Amino acid sequence: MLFNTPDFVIFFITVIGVLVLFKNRRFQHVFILIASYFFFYYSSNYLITLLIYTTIWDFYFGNAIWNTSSKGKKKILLVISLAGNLGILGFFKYADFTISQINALSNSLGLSSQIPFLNLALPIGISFYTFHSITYTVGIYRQQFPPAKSFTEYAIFVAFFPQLVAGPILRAKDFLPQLREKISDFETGTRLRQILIDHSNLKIGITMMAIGFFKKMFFADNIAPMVKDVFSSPVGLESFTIIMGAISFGIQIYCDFSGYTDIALGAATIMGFKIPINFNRPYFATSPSEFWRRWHISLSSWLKEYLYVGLGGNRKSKTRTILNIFIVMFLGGLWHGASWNFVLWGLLHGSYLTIQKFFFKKIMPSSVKSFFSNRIGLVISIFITQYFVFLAWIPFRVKNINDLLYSMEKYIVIDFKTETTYHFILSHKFSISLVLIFIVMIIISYKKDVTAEKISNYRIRYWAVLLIAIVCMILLFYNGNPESFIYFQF
Amino acid sequence: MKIITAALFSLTAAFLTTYIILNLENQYFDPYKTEKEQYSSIGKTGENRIFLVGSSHVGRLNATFIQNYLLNHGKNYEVFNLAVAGDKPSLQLLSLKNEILLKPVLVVYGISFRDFESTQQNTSSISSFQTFSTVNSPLPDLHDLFVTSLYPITLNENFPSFENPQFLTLIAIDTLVEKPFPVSVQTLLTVWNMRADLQQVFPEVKNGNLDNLKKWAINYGWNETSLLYPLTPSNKIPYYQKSLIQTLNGITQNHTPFFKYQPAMMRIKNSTELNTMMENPDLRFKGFNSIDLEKNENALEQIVGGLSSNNVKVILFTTPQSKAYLDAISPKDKEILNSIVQKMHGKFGIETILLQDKYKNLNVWSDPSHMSTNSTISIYNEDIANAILKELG
Repeated sequence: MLFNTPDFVIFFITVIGVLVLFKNRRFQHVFILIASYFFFYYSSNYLITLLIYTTIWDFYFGNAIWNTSSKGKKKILLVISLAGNLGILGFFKYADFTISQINALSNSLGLSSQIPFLNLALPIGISFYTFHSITYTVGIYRQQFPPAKSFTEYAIFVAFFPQLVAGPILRAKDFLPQLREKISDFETGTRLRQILIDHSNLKIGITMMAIGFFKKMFFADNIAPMVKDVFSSPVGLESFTIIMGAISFGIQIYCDFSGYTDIALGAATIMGFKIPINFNRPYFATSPSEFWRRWHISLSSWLKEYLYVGLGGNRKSKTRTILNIFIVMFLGGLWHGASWNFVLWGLLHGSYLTIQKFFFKKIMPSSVKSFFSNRIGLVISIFITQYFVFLAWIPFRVKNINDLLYSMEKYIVIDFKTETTYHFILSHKFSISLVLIFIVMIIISYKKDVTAEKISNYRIRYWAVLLIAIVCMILLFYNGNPESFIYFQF
Repeated sequence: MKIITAALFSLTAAFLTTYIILNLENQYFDPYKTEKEQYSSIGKTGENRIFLVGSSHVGRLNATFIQNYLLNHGKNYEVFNLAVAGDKPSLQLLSLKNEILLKPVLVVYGISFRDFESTQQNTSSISSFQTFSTVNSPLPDLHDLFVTSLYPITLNENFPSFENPQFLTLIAIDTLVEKPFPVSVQTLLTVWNMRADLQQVFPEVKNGNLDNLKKWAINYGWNETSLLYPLTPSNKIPYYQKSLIQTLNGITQNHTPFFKYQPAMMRIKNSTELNTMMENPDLRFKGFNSIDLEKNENALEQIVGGLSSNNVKVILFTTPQSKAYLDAISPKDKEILNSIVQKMHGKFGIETILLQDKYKNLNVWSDPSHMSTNSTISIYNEDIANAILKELG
C-alpha cells in the first residue's frame, strides 16, 4: 500500500479511529498487529508468508539463545538464525542476479549451458524487516535485553506498518520497551502500554506526515520526469544537462526517501511511538563521513554496529580498516539492489571515506584544516562533498554501463556546451523551478532551524493555514499517477 | 479535538480550493477545445476519409505512404493518422464522438498488450526486479477490491479536473505570465505557409488575423533561433510537446496531428540491443489485472460498437512487436489479447488482423515494441494498406 494513495489515508484514519474507540490494551496491541499484516498483505499478497516466517523464526531463536547458558551453543543458534534470515533475503534478492553472472561467465568462457532464471518476485520490504529481526537476535545474544515477553509484541516490532516496507530500521532494544508501560525514564514495567492519541503527538505527527507528503508528492514526483528524461538515454547530452540531472536525482531521492520517513515517523508519533530519524540535512554534510551520519542514519548505524564493528572496525591495522570500510560499503551498495551499479555506488562512497580518513586527515596541513573550520571553509567543504555525493548518485540511477560511463565522464570532464542544455531547461521549466525552490527552501530551513516540531508549535490557526497551503500545492500539481517510493524496491 | 477539527477543516478547505481553482481554469482553458479545433479542421477536408487510430505503435504508420498506396491502386482517400502516444481504449473512447461526426469511411484501430496492461505501479523504473503478479496469486487482491468499489466515482465524467490537475495548473500559470512575442511576423507567416496542419487550425491567418497563431506560438515556447517548431496542439498528450518539423522521411506529415516523429525512430536496432533494452522494466509488458483489462475491453467494445452502428467500417488489428518484447510475455497473456480481438470479430463482424507476431524476427525495430519509421521498411505500411484495400472492396 503506497503512502501517497487514498487507500493509505483511509486505512490510517480507520486504524486511529479504532485505537481511539477501543481502549483495551491487549485489543489495541493485537489490532495494530492485524492492521500491520493487512497493510503488508494489501500490496504483497502471498509474500506475507515470508514476513510471518521471519517473525516465527527469530522469535523462536531469540528465546533459544536467551535460555541457553553455553556460549558456544548461543553462537551456533545465532549463526543458524542469521543464516535463516539472510538466506531468505539472499535467495529472493540475489538468486537471479547470481544466475545472470554465472551465465555471463559461462558465455565468456565459451560454454553453451545457461542456467534458467527463477524469475522470483522480490518481496517488498524484505531488506528492512530482515534487518529488524537481526537486531533482535543479536541484541539477545549480546545480552542487551531479554526476549520479548510475548509473540505478539515481537511480531509488532517486526511488522509495525509505518516502517515495515522502507524503514527506518528499528532496533529491538529501542522499540520493544515502548510496548510496555513506563515506570521511569529508564525502566518499563510488565503491563502493556495503552495507546493513547494525545494532542501534542497528534499535532506533531500530522505536521510530519504533511511535510512528508509535500516532499514526496510535490517535489520528488514532479522532478522525477525530468530525471527520467536525462538518464533514460543520456548519451549525447551535454555536461550541464548531466550535472543538472544528477543534482535533480539527488534531490528527488532525498525528497522521496525522507518524505517517506517523515510520513512513517508522523504515523508512529500519532500512535505514541518514537522511531529514529533517518535524515539530518545530509546535503549540508561537510565530509563523506558526516554525510553518512546524516543520510539513511538507521542503515549506516546498523552497518556500523553489526557489520563494521563485527569485522574489527578500526581497531586493527590500517590495511584491515580500509578493507573493512570497503566490505561494509560493498555490502551496503549490494543491499540496495542486485546490480553492479549499486555496488559501484557503495564502492565510490567507500573510497571517499577511505581518502578522507587516511589521507586528508593525515596529510592536510593544519593551516588548511583551520581554514576549513571557518565559515567560508565549511561552505566550500559542503560544495566539495556534495560534488562527490552527486557524482555517486549517477551509478545509483543509471544501470546501463555505456550510459553510466558516458554520464560520469560528462559530469567529471565538463564540455562547457550549452546548446541543448538551454532547450532542455525550456522544456523542463517546471521541474527545474522545483529544484531551485527546493534548494532555497532547505537553505532557509537550515539557517532558521525549521523543524516539524517547531512548525507544530505554531498557533492552531496558522498551523491550519500551512496545512491548507501544503495540501493545495500537492493537489494542484498532481499529475494523476502515484509514483511508488524509490526505497520500496530495497 | 481542536487539532482533529483543524486538520479536517484544512483538508476540506484544500480540496474545495483546488476543485474551484481547477474548474475555474477549465472554463478558460477548455482542455478539449484544441482537440475540437483539430477535428473541425479535418472536417474541412474532402469526404473520403480513413482514420488510423491507436497508440504510438500506430503512430509509426506513414499516413502519406498509405494514402499514396491506395491512390496507386485506384482508391482516392485521405488518410489521417490520429495516433496518440500512450493511447488506450479508455482514452480513445473520449474521442469517439468527434471521430464519428467526421464520418470516416473506415477506421483502422491498432491495439496491443499495452492498451490493456495493468496501470498499478509497484515498481520504480530505477532498478529492474519483478514483484509478484496479482494475476498469479490464488489469494484475493485487496487493492483490486478497493479500486472496484471506487469505480463509480473515478469514471464519473464530472471530475475531469482531477485527471491531470498539473496540466491545467501549468497552462494557467503560463497564460498569466506575459511573454514577449518570440518570433517575427514574417517568420511566423513563412512557417504557416509551409505547414498544412497549421493552415487547417488557423485559417484566419490568411485574412491577416494572426492573434490565435501568436498565442499558440507563445504557449509552446517558440524561439526565432530555435529549431523547435511545435506541432499543432493536442490536449490528449498531458505535457507540452516540442519537436522538430514534422517530417517523416522528408515528407511533411500534415495528416498526423497528435503524434510527433523523432529522428531516433528511424534507427534500426539489432536483437542484442533490443534484448539489452528489455532490461529496462519500463519497456516491458506489466501484465494484466482485472480492473484495467475490463475497463479497456469495455471501452473497446463501445468504440467498435459505436463506429459500426454509425456505418463506419472498422479494421481491428494487433500492432506488431519484436521477439524480445514477445518473449517476455506469458502464453496466457498472449491468449488474452487474441481472445479480445476474436470477441470483437464475433460480436460485430468486423475485419480483424493479428500482426503482433508477423514481423518479430525481422530486423525492423527501433525499440522492442515499436517498428522503425526508416524509409527502407515498408512492410507494415503495405500490410495495413492492403487490408484497407480489401475492406474497401
